[in-house]
Amino acid sequence: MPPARAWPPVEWPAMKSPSRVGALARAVLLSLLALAAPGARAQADAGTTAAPPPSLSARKVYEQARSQLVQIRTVLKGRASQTSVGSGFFVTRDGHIVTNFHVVSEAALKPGQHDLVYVTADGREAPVSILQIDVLHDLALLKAGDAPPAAGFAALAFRETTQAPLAQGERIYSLGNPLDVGFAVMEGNFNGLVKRSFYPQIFFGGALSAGMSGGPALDESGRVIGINVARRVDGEQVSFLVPAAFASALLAGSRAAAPLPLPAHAVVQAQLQQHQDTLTERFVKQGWKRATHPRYLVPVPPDEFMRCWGSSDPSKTGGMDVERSDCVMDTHIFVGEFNTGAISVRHESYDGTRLGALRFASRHAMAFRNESFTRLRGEHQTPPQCHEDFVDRDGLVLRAVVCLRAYRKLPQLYDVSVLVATLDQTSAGVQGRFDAQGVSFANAQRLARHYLDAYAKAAP
Amino acid sequence: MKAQIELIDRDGQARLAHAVQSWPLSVGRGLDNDLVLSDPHVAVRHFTVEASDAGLELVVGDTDNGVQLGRRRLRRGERAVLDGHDAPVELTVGRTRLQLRLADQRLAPELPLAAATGLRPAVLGAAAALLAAALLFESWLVNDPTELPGALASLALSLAVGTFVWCGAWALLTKTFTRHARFGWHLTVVLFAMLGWRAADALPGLVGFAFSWPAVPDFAFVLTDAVGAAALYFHLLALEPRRVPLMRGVAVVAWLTAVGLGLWFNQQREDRWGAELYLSHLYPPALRLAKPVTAEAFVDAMAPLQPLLDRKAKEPPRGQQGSDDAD
Repeated sequence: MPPARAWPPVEWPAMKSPSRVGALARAVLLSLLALAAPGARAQADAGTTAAPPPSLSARKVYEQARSQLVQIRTVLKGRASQTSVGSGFFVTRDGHIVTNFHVVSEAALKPGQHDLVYVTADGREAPVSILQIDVLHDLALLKAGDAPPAAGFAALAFRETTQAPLAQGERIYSLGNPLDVGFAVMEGNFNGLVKRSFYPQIFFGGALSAGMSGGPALDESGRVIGINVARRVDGEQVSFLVPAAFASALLAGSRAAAPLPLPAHAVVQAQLQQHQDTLTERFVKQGWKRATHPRYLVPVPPDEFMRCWGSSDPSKTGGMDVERSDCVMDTHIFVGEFNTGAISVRHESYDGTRLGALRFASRHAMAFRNESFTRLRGEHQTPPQCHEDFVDRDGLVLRAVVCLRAYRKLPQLYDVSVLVATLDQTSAGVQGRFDAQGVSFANAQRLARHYLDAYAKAAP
Repeated sequence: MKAQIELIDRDGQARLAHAVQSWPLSVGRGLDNDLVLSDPHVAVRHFTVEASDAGLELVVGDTDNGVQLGRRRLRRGERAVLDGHDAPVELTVGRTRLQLRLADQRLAPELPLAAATGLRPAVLGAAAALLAAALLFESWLVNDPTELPGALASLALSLAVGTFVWCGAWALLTKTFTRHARFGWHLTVVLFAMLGWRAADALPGLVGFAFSWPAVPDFAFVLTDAVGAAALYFHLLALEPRRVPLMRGVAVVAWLTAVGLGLWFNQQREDRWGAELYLSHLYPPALRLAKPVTAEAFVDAMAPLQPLLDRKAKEPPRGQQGSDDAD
């Protein structure tokens, strides 16, 4: 089978140093909004994000929020140059700041090399410490390291949950420091929640740029409704916000906490453990779609939090006809240097009746061989370790391979891949692959069983 | 004539023959010897051969380098009785190879002017036909019907050019050493090596699939390397037909080196000894002999991977696989 496409192309708009551009462009569709590569990125974005001129209310909103807005800089220790910048905002008079986890991930996971500072719109700069992180929703709670002014820090308020929810199409304003150019306000529309997202995210119909990550999105009265987090790079003004409720919960839970012991791998690991339990539970509970193949039951997940793309590819050279199905999650958990926490399921069905048994077997084997079981660099993950055998599913014989990789810095979490080929027909068959990232060993076994059990001969 | 002493060239042919009319025979660099050598590693009077009661006796003269008699190294002043009844006596003095043929030596029968390999043409023809069939089958197997003619043309071209260049290089080398090109010999070696390589490459996958033994195709390179080493041996044999044990040793060392390097490479690059992560050879269902297990048993059998992975996670990373931006 050909390797799965990276999907979706999302960018998280924190801004990073030039060497990190590759990592930023990671996902073809989704882009985290931390800021890196100044030149190239600025040009690439310039054409696509022409926002309308700010309205009167945008001006009002910005003026009100200006003093609560900060830029969060990750600075290379002893070098005074920034490795990544994002945005943030004060949420209490005591100096609590909310931003994205991906804006502070370097400082949280490699504290030996990085310092964290905040810079206000007036240019005031002070150190900041991390109180708590929420990697599942990509949030971090920070606290200003300098003494508060006599009246306390100016802070933004969250939109009360008692208020009527925003209606689709209502104006909202996203604030931040795009591309480290300067603080800015971007006008856009509230478009409800993102469909098929594993964790709730707000669909913001407006422009977000690298560097705006962690900045607030405000309603017309200046209340925080969400936190800028990502944008789709294959669309126009398709951006995403973390709902404010998660930030307010994070604040409520860790307001009085001492600074987080760094590096924070243990916290990341614990939160991923919780995520993989929820994910496995929900994934197994939702079951499988029926009628996915005329001859077999082939596992295809429902569209609850995954999206399936299919294609049909009849051979033009008298060879094998191929049909594909590729199901992926939009949600990935960013944990510093890589993503994890997602599930994908895909299969290809092959019809080689024009080729005959021997030539079909040769194609079947070639497709089976064309699989990679390494994902991350050796510093993050072990090489794959596999188990394989023939498996009998009520009379349907499969060749099955399961490969696992352990995370080096996240103990007891594994990536599991199950590769399956049907072996009952001489000139047709199906190959499927299941991947789950960052699951416990018990859940890896549970998911592998769940996947294998979904194969069977279709009732005639 | 009592004997003939010959100076042997590196191709094994006699370059100079000296008839011995009477004993003793003296050999050395000095012009007063019966056989005068100009090799600077030879002493003024290197050795003499004398008739004694025990038969012919070699007496080593005043030399630092001594005399190599067959496998024996004789030092200054040593004596040795020569036995030349079944084969010529072979001597090395300095860097000069000598051969002493005695009058009473039993001679081997005349060698016919044989074909290149001594194999019957029918055997060669059958092997060539088998290889052609195997190559055709392989092309047919991996190419879609409409792409087959083009693939066959490029296969024929690359095969012809490749074989010619390979055998040509060996023939050139052989000619340099032995004055005979022996192109036919090398062509035969290539023919059988290709057949053997194909068998060594295909059979392990089939066995692995039939019995669900992933280790067999995993270490198929041990077999293919052996075929390569055997081919090397036969190619070298054309260069040095008289040094069979040495060439055999070279081939075995080459085989062990190739296998060792393969294992080391796999270990460094992929952190395992075998070449394949999993068995990826699929054949028509009827060829499967191993019994399938239940899904439950399969998943239960994953359990030993956990301690292994946990141990590997603590080891320092090895090699560079994957990338940060893979999803």
